[in-house]
Amino acid sequence: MKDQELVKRLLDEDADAFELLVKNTEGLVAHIVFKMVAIAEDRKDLVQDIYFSAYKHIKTFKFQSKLTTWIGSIAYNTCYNYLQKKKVLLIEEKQDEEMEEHGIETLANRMAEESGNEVLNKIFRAELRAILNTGIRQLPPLYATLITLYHYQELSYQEISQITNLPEGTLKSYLFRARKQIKDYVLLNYIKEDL
Amino acid sequence: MKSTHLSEEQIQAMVFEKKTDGAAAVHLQACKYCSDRLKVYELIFDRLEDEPIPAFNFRIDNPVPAAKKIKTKGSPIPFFVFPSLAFILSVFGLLGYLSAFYKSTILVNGLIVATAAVCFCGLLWDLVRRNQQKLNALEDQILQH
Repeated sequence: MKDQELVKRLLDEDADAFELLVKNTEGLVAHIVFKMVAIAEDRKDLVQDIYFSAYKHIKTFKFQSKLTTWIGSIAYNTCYNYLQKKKVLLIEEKQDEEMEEHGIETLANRMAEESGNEVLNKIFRAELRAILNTGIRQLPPLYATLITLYHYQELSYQEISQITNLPEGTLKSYLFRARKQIKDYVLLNYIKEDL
Repeated sequence: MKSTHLSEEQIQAMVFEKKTDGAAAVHLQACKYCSDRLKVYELIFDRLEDEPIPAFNFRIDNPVPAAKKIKTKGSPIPFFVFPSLAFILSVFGLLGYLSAFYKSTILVNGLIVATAAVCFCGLLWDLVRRNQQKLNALEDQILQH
């Protein structure tokens, strides 16, 4: 269903249209909320607030972006305000450079060794995924959200910029640092496990 | 010697934006270190894209019926009150006129009973309608939870 039709049905107070809106946007909202809010109990209230706010302000939606992007921006702003209230830092820099060279060599060698063996390869990838998941959880909320929007949701820079209200240059710079932090974390922890 | 290697920005641009300049591509073919750095990024972010979408373990309340309920609450005077009032006043006005004209108590009594019956039916119908609305709202809430 097109955004125009869905918005019209929502303005007509069609309860089924609201269910459809939730269905269409739940993945994006879940990604944002899960990455920005660590406390599981707080997520429910925030999600209710996000959808109630979207319903309440639907008449102000001007079709300048996709409806999903608009809901995404409400989700982001709701979580952002929550983090501000909780005084949680959105960005925090970490440096793990000293292990980088050794880590790259170790990981690349392991990749080459196990590429021929399917079982070992699966184990290697499972190990890597476990480290990676922990690494993403340890990212600052803003970095984790940007990584999620770009890599999981596969949104464009323009869409992410509309959601987060960050200029594209800043966005690219944050994404660069976030990817580097993830890579550094994986290398550091992979070496630790390998030792 | 580290400065001769590709920068982190160049590596990321090659992996994520598929941007490669000629010199960087040549360097990449000759340098195992940079080639490994590129592979590491590919390997890590390949895994990232496989992860399933998180899901909420609760149902999101639908605010639409709630909004409708608020609207109903906003108009405390039922719609039938003014027409009923006008009707009753007209009937009593007519009664007064007729009873004075014909001097008949039977006609007066009959009209009074008829008016009371109409009002009673109206009130009864409104009571049923309101209860039905409450039951529907309750049913919506139960379904949402």
